[in-house]
Amino acid sequence: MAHPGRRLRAAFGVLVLLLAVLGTRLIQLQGLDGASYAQRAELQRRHVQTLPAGRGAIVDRNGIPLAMSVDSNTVYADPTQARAQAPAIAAVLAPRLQISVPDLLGRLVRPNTRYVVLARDVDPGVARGIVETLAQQRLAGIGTEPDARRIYPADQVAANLLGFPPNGPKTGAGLELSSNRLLAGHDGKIVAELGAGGREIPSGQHAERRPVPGSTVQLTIDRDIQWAAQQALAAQVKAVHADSGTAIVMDPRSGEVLAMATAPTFDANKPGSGPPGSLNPAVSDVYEPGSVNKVITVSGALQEGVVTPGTPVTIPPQLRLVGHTFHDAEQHGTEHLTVAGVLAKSSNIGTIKISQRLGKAKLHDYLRAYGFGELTGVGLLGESRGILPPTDQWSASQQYTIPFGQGVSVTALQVASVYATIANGGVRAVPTLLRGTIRPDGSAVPAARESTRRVVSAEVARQVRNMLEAVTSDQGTAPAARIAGYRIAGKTGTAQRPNPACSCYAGGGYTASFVGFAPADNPQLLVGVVLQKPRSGHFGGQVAAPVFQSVMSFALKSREIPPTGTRPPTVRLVAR
Amino acid sequence: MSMAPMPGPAGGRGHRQGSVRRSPQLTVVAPRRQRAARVPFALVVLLVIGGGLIGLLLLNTVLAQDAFVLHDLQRRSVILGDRQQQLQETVVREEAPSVLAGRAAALGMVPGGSPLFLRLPDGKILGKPRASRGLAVAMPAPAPTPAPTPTVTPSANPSAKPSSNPSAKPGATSKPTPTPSGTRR
Repeated sequence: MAHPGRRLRAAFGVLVLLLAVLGTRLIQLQGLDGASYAQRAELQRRHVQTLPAGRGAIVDRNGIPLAMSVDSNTVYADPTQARAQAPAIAAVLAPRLQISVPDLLGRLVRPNTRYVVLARDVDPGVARGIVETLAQQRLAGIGTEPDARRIYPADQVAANLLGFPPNGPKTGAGLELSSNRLLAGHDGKIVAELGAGGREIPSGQHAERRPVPGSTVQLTIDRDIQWAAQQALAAQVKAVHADSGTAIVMDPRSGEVLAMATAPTFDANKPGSGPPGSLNPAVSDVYEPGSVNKVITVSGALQEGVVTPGTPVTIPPQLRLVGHTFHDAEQHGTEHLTVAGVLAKSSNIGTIKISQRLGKAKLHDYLRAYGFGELTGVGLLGESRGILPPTDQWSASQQYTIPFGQGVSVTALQVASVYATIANGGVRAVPTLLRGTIRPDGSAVPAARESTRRVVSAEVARQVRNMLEAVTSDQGTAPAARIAGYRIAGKTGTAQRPNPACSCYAGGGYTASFVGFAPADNPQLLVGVVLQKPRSGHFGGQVAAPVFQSVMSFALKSREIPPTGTRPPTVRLVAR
Repeated sequence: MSMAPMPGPAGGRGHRQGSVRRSPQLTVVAPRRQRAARVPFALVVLLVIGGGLIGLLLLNTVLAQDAFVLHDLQRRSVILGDRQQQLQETVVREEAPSVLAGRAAALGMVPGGSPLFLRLPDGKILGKPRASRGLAVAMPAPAPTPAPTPTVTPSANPSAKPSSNPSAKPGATSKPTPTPSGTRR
């Protein structure tokens, strides 16, 4: 190596070799594997955070929230990291999450997983305290995720309508489920590069998609009236030892439901505390309506012109037809009532006689026109159509029992809708619960209104209203429904309940109901009350009318509806 | 740069100054002193580079500082947001009708009786005044006030028993043939 030329060449060769090695490595790192290294580096910095879309609230007609969502956190553990210091972590978490230490320890060391939920619906402040305390003590393996908690500020109020939000397929109930598409919204996310301590690197990439919150759904329900109806109903169900009850408050002019109460009910904040059976029996449970049905028979007969309010009807003590003997509620001799008297005194025999003039085909037509056997259109899940068989399937006796409401099954809302039609001058407004939606940007979208249909003429509706007003007179069946100063029209119903044990009516108990509206000459509110199987008394005028009186008084005051200041007309109930 | 411009026949200036006949003598002209011009140039360059670097540093510092401030402010905003939400929830819960009714009852209040209405166009007074007779609606009452009478029970109200038939019921002996509609779900 003495020769300088050789030495130079050797050095050159070594340099070339070195450069070649470095160059190759460079190409390997930057060119061939570059993408994957860049990706790994980015993965260390890159952080994707889901921004949960706020679920829309459900508010009453005055904008008071019945259901709303508040932020909460889910606290979870990564046992692969938490295992080493589990006792110290458990000591920090136990008092804050109110979970026992042994329970926490079990979850903190769970094998073969990197995600164990420790607590849901944790207050954000508490969750932040946990994260900061753990960071101070250099304990790793616990994380929090943003979440939302659904609260129902008024607890039981309208729980039967609201239900609970879906949490996975085939879960959820009530309006929370049926309006889920409007309420849910779309989640957003932030993609950002974070440095140590979770702070964003200023010049790093940053992509953000804002969440689209759900819309607010506004109901026609009035929270206060709903509460009053639930209170009055629950108290009466208890007082008369009834199985259950429903109360519906409607504005007959628009079909808007102001309250739909059921008893027993449950606290919406504690799903699972509900009574067994359906969420909202007011639309899902059917029963035989009894005498409230007579208004259909009488209004149909008036509309067809086969009777007038003053037409005399002779009522024998009993009536024998197709092998059955029909009675009235009370024993009486032969009476001479008018059509108005038949309705006011709720005579079964009189109603059968009127229905014979109407004919069963026409009777069926009117039952259909008033909405029997079809969905009311209120749009609640689990609604029943009721049971109205076609005339050719009617048994021999059904043609005489259906006119006074036995042998046909309906929901409480269907019955309320019949009386709303009379109250609204013979025009049926489709019952509705949705007032509209309020979009996240604050714009309001009123709900589409279903078309109305005329069932009977305004004149027939007026005549029937006068007859129904006589029901609350001293001669009628429900003086207990009267409210001082107001003209009240309504009808009692006392129906036998079928006994499933024997497929007969014996021992089945009764359904007591009262449906009425006020003021009678300018109806603005309608209240329908149904009590199933009351054991202390069973007449609608005794058991259901007081609930009507209480709820109607409250609703009239709440809606600031003054009396009309007119005198009720004299309606002749007795012929001759 | 190191050569002076060569005067030539074409050169206008040389031409005028004379010495036309003599052949031009080429001499090495002393190079102009350039050193004095280089120092300010280098200084300017250094200044630009230094200024740029310092500016960049400041910019980065400010950005980083802002990131810290942003982080702290965001944290504060979140805490305040949580607080607001907590207070809102409390207000909404306190507004619930059952809570209000309970509070009112505890203060000895009862729901009002029938109100009177004054109709302005004709000055007519509508309605029948009636003092509150206990509670129209049964309250969940922890009330020290007279116990709320629940909604009128049938026996409590003599007028609830009408002289005429209270309501119709189907003839007890008639037993309408049970139909499919007879079974209640």
